[in-house]
Amino acid sequence: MVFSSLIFLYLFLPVSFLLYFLSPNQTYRNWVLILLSLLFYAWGEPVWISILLISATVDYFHGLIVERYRGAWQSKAAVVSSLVINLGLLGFFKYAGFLAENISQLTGITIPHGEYQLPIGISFYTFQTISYVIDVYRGEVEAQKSYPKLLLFVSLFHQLVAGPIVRYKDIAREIEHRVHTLPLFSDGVSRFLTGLGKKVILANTAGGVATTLLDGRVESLPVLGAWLGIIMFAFQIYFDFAGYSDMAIGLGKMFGFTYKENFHYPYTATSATDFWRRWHMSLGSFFRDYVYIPLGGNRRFPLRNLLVVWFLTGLWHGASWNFVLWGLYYGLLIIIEKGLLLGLMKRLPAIVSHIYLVVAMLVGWVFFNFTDLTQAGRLLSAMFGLTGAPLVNAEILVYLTNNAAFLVLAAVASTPLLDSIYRRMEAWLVERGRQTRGLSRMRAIWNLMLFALSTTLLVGTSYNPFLYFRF
Amino acid sequence: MKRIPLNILLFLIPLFLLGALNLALPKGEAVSAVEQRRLKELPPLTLTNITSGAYFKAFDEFFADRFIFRDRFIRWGSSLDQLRGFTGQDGAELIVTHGDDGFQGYQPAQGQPDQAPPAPGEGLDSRSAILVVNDRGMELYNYAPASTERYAAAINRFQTGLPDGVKTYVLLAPTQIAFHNNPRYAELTSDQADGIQAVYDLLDPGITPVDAYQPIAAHTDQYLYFRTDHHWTALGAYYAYTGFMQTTGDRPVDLAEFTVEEVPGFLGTTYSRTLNPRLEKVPDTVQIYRPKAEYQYDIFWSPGQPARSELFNMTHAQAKGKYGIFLGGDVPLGRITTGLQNGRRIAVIKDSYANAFIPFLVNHYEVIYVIDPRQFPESIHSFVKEQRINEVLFLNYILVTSFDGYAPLLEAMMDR
Repeated sequence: MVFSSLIFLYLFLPVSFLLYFLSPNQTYRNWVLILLSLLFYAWGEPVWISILLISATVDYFHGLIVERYRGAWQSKAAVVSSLVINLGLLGFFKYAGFLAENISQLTGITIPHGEYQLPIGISFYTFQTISYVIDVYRGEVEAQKSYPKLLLFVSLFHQLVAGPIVRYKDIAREIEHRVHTLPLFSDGVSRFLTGLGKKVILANTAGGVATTLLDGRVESLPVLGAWLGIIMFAFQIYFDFAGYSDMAIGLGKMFGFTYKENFHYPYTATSATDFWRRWHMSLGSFFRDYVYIPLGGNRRFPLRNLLVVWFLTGLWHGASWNFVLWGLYYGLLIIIEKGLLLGLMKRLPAIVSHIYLVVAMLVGWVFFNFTDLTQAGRLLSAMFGLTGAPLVNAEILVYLTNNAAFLVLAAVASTPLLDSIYRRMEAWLVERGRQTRGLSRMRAIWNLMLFALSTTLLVGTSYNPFLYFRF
Repeated sequence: MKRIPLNILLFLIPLFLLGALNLALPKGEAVSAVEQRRLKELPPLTLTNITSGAYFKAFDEFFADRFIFRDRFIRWGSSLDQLRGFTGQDGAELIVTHGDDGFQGYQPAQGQPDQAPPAPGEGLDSRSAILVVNDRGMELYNYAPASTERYAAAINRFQTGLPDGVKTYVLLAPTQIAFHNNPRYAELTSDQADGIQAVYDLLDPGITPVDAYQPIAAHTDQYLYFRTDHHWTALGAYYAYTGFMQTTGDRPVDLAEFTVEEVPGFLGTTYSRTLNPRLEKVPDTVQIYRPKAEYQYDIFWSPGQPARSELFNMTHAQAKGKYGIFLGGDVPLGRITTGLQNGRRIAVIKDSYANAFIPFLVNHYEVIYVIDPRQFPESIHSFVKEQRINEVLFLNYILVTSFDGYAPLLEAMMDR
């Protein structure tokens, strides 16, 4: 199930609230959450729930063993076993086909491999359970003695399918004991609806235009058409992903969990280094803490470590070379920035660095968007005017004018502008000792508007006219 | 007790209210009139359906299709679309639509002409662009060399398999965007005169092409195309008919020889695909030119079983798809028998453009067969022989030559 569906909003969520808040105590509530989460997961993929349960179960025991035999070889062995099992599952389901194809291309030997549909969320929950076992091993957190509680951590539907990658230590306390307050719940509502709006109002709209422009007709795009297409794709992927994270964080608050932030206005970044401090932060910090630093960080072989991390970051996004290329592209940019650019850019006005990042980021999305690299090459040539296509044509002009207001809206929503206006107004009122109730009311009405618009647009996507009379 | 913040109330009240209404209220009609499709039903709750995930997927669609106030939400959603930007002075908008083409899977059950069309997903998904300028929606045509060639090749193959003495005509109908007077949008779409000529050039010498383009182009100041539908009006079809008559060497019947009727309030396919409010404001009027000759019309929902019907089926006048008045819509096989005794027997292999055109032939042929390649279940060559057909007219609108799926339908009729 996904958050941005009518069935989640108007069936699953109300039922969840009722069952959860009518449960008498924490133990019941935990069970309610586990069962709801399993139902949520099973909704699309009833079979793959077994993988989730395997991962949670083995790591429950791994955690216990690590703690019991602290300092002894068994402890290390349990970590290794956790890595082998989780990465094995991930490798088998996500990368087996990719690996087999590449080996057979290199050696000419055909390797039989199953074609599986990727179990939803496997990239997220395997990382979560790995981080749990390692954190126990490092003594950063105590092992969870209760199986249901660990299962709750792994399966929690808020972040199960699309992150953020939540670490056990960050919510360990809340698994044991959660506080529910009205202000927290209210914050959760605001956050959830902000995310819903990002996904349904912004990402879906941008996606429609991006698909129209970028699917199967890249050769004939004029220069501005190519840029419009990739800009729309950039908006689509950001608002989709950030919206999903917002919804997860918002749901967390409503149910008493605090998840870390996952995005911090990445499109306002001024360098690739800065971008990755703001984009999918839970993934970046995962690779930093569990790969980059253990490899030696910036003390031993920093270059190798960076390349390994960026290779893996790319590969994590999908079993295809274009993602690897996309990851390495950022690794390379970051290495160049470290050595050369950042010093230079400090002396230039911020707008220059910002323009550099936006162009670099859009070029990155070209690699990300096309699994077929020749297509990516074609779009890049079109963007930089190498195909001989005109700057613009009538069609693109119509698309530009038709979407002008949307482009401005999406650009504004990528910046902290609205948020900072709100905060300033709040601070201004507080400073003068005035009530902020009026402001909260405005916020509530704004949220209601987001909710209504999202619902309207979601119902609209079910509109599927039958075109039999088309000819 | 503490006061519950407005923010929470404004979230939970609509959430629970709409949630409860969805569960409580009856699920309404099973057919959507605007979309002309059957709404999703729940599949049986079987173990296979559950383990494959099919049940859940269908449940999602079922839930969305039966959502409370769905029609109103959809209408609001299409108005919201207008806020994305501007439409310029002449209100130009390009709308890419998705929908169900119904190439496959449309098999009307025996004797059930008014059954609901299939649910979405059973046909091929199609994506195409509609240019809305002011209150007119126009389908864009893009010349597609491969499917153009395949279309011509299929007709050539048809001609080769015919008995001697059977004459084959091909009439490709231009669409309204070919005659749109604003040159600014000319480059959005391919030239239709060229597209039609490209097909005609590929036809074998034994096949006679029919020029419908010129007679239509000569009268573009008249009401030849619907603004909210992708078809021509009966008047547009009439001028194509005069072109056909010129080719066959007959004299077209004068328009004054027909009784004219009008059915107002028609919002057609370009409207239902875009739900554009500017189209909605100005509905079309369907004009009917009823021939004074004698005739009877039979529909064969299945071979060998004629069902008497109306050439102008006025039950469609009350419905959404008013173009369905002509011949009662698309049927597998129709037969018009007139009082003429001239031995001329024609088969029209066609898409829905022919529906408005065929009534004009009543004054010239003894028998007219109407064949829809999407549904016609028999071998076309044997049919032509058995029914002693001596003229065949392929009548399509130019866009079918850009669809991958159309020529295969013609081929399939010959392969049977």
